[in-house]
Amino acid sequence: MNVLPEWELMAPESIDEVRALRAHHPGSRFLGGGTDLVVNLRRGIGDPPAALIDISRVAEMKGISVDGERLRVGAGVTIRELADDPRVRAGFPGLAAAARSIAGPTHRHMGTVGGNLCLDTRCIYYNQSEWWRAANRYCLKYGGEICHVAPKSRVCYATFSGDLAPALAILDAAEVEVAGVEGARTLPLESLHTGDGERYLALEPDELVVAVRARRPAALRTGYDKVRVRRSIDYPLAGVAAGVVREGDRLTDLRLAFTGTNPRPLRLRGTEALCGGPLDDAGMERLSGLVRRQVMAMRTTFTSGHYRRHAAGVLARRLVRRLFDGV
Amino acid sequence: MERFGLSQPVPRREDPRLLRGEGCFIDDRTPPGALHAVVLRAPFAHARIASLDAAPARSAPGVRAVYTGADLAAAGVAEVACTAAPPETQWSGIREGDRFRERRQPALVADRVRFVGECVAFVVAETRRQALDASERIEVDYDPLPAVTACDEAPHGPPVWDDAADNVSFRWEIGDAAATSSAFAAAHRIVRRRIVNNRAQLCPLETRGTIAEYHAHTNRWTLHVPTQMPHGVRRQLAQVFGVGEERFRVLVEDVGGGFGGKNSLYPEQILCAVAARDLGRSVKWVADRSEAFLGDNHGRDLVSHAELALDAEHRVLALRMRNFANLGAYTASRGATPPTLGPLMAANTYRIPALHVDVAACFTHTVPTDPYRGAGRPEGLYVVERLMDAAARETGLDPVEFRRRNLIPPDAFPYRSPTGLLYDPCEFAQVIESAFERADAAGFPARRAEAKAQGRLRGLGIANYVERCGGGAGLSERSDLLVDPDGAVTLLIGSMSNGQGHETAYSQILYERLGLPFEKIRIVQGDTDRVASGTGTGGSWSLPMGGGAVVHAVDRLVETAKPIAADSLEAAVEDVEFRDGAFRVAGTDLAISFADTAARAAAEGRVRSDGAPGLEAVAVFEPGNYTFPYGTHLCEVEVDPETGAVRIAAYTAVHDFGQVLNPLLLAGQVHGGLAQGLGQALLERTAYDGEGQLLSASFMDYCIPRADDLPDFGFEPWITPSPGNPLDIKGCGEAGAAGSPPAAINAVLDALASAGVHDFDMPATPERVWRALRAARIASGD
Repeated sequence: MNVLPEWELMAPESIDEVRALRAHHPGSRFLGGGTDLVVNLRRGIGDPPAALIDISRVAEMKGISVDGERLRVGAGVTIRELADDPRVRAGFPGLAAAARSIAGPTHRHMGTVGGNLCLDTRCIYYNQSEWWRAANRYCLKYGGEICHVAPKSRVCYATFSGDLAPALAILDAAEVEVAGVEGARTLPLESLHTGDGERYLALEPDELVVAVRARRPAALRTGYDKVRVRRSIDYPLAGVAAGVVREGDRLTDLRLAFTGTNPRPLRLRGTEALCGGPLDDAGMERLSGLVRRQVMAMRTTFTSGHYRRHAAGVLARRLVRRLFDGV
Repeated sequence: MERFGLSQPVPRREDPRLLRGEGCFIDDRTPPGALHAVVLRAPFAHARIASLDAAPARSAPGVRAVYTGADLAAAGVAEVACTAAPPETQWSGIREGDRFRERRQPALVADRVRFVGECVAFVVAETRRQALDASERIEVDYDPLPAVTACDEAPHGPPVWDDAADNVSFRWEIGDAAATSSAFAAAHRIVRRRIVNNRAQLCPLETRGTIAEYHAHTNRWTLHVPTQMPHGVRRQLAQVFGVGEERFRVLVEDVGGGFGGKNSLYPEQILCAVAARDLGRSVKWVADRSEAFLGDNHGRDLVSHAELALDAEHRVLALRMRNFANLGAYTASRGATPPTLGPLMAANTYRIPALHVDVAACFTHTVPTDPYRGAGRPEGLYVVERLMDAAARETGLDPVEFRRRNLIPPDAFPYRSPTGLLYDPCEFAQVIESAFERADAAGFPARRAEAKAQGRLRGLGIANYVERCGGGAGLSERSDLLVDPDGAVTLLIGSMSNGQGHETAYSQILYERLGLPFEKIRIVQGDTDRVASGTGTGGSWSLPMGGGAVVHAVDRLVETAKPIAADSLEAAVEDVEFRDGAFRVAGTDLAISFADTAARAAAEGRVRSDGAPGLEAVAVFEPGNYTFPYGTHLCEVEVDPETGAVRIAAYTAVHDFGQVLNPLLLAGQVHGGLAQGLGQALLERTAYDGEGQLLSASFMDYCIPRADDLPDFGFEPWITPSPGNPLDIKGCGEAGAAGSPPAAINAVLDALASAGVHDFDMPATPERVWRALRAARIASGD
């Protein structure tokens, strides 16, 4: 079996301790649930860190608070805790559904909200063994000079596939609390991801996400769905979060965000043009057009980008219809 | 007697141990002081090795040895030979004027690599990490060459072997070419299809591995190998090293799945044995998952151009096939078997008066192919069952009616197939009826209408199958029974469980026949020093053959013990019978238990051949003919036309496996086979890129099914005793994998027919189904 490199492991219990340790270990990385990082380290992806700072015991990163329409989730909350929280399920069903759809039960037990928001981007060439990548001449994301899924590109097209980011992005005022050696700051969620598959996070190496916050408009109905080759555990070919406000027979607000398609979570632009009237076939056709134009979707070993874009559109139309009809 | 005897649903004896994590798989064992080995593998599908410098690795920390192809050649280590050449029979053989070009795989390649993943160097170090680091220091300068990976492109592709320029290893044919041609000339209708059996990766969850030890004082090796055929591996090792088989002890403990992929000797086992001898220490190698995808032999990979000639009454006159089989870069140990075993089953359950199959077995720059659960039979059945459906559609007959019309009739048995097999009596028509009832096929139109109302396309697919199983053709299995003075019995058996539950199955036979409780029964397998000979496990033959050997050995044991019992009972031997665990004087209540008889034998000074006091009996069972399990599969699918997603809505399989030894073990075998067959049909796609890189080299990219992708299986045995062996068993290991691909794809095609799709190749992934629908829509101008 593959061999893990050796590292020093530290387990601070507060943000201040985290900062101090990070300052003393410049080559260190943060370890949450480990469901992404450890797998990649085992595959020889990324330079092996000299030290790992285990942030799963940090008090400030724990806990979910719901205050009316406001939500704050600590980055150290596990996916399972989020999925099972009755307040989240009642008030933020789209977010709960996204959490429930992540990987398998054991991953949800270990994986954290912060880890899912900062999930490494992936593609068919990057997420392989060291040996396999060497045989395929590496890629832009690590060690190579080509993007195999977009050979003419000078930037990396590895895909972001976290499920929570789109489910949060369709809410209002979605923000992440960030802490670093230099201090703390707040960042709009939509600024957390850069859109470059290689350097996909707008965080400094010494920064980490402490919590995520968002607000839900009272009348917003939310949902989440994704398509996969296999129905359990697989990464999404496309995932979509939707928020719908219906007044009488009219659609008055429509928000959509995608994952598994672009190097960053994609908030679909131009949906307001569909609002104001009933949700009819023409509106659905326009929605498909928006998806076709904005969703990028690179190929996987199994699936072409063309099909993934198509599937994203089908998924979006079905989810919006379901939320609008309230079934 | 009931609870643990034959036909009882006895829970597996091995499960408590395995479920507690107390199993011993290859990576659970590391002898103290063992060295660890890593293989450097070829990164190109086809390249000349211009230079190779291993010196930097040799001087790396912890390294004890580095081997290259040149080192092995100098040490006189031979290549791995093909153990089964293409068969020559009255009905089949290599085409006239042609010959079998065997190309043997070396343990390490010296001058030219022929597939990605081929072994180039072998590094042995104190730790696995040191071996890994050192392997990265080996400098290999490759001159890449063009590669070919598809079998039907191989004859025009770059040669894998310079002395086989058309990339053909052998041309082989079966059946009567002249009679088939005349039948086609006289046909009322000819139905043609190009049908592809996609290449499959076997994916046993325990990867391959080896621990080799060399005992200098006896000049012998011990190799721990998870294999299906311990004695076969020993024989191959002896061939490679050019020494006697007695120099090797092959030891097997738990095996985490084989499916044909652990049948034979692999390069890494040879390399561990060489290093252990040279270094005088244990050498351990275990494949990581990437290596398993790249280094384990693959299965299937066959392109067939198939034609059916029909008369005006829609009866089959003849079947003709031209097959391209992909052997990969070498002729693997059993690489010639699938391409030739498939055509043998091409007539399947049908009366086909004339048949001819022409096989071109081709070299490509890919991992060698070897048997995979069915070893060619599933491929052959898939082609003929797809063709039967195509013919039904083109004649306008219902697929089931078309099949009924062409079944081998009951009065034709024993039936000699046009490929030379002699079928036992089979109740094909009754099994179809039974499957139809169980699947509520009559309710299908209503279910289809309901699905349509919800925007989904529902299809029903049928596949019949009959297989040639159970050993036969000179294969045999041996069983030794050793009885301790307290009546405990040890069975030494040459078959080798790799998950099937042999320990339970054999215990049930001994419980039934000797009246022994399980705790007095020990099953020993997988030790070539203790088990004198063995055919191993494959071809659904363990119980038909091994079970037969056990029954015969029990009979001999009873005969051996009877005089001792008679003596004790003061009765004549002919008045003593063995019944319910005791020797009894007929017509009286005088009896002596089996255990007491065993004790008496020991007290009388009886000694077994292993030197211990007690009784023993040995039997070898060689079946006279193959067994012929058969059955009908019905698959119902629903297709989402917008996304192409296929869901298996219902699955029914009715099988005649002969007598059922244990319905739980049987269901386990059938379910596992169905999962693998449905995986091949719906999900599994082995993909090579244009340079011959294997893209589907991880569980992310190569999608084997999960429980969630499969329906509840409706499985029912249909029992007619097999005439070929003492337990009346036919063998069940491969049936699920054989029947399910055609049933599933016929169902998908039935669902898509209304949308104008009339041909489709596995796997039915959402995108491929969606594209087929779109192509049909565009073609119809809609």
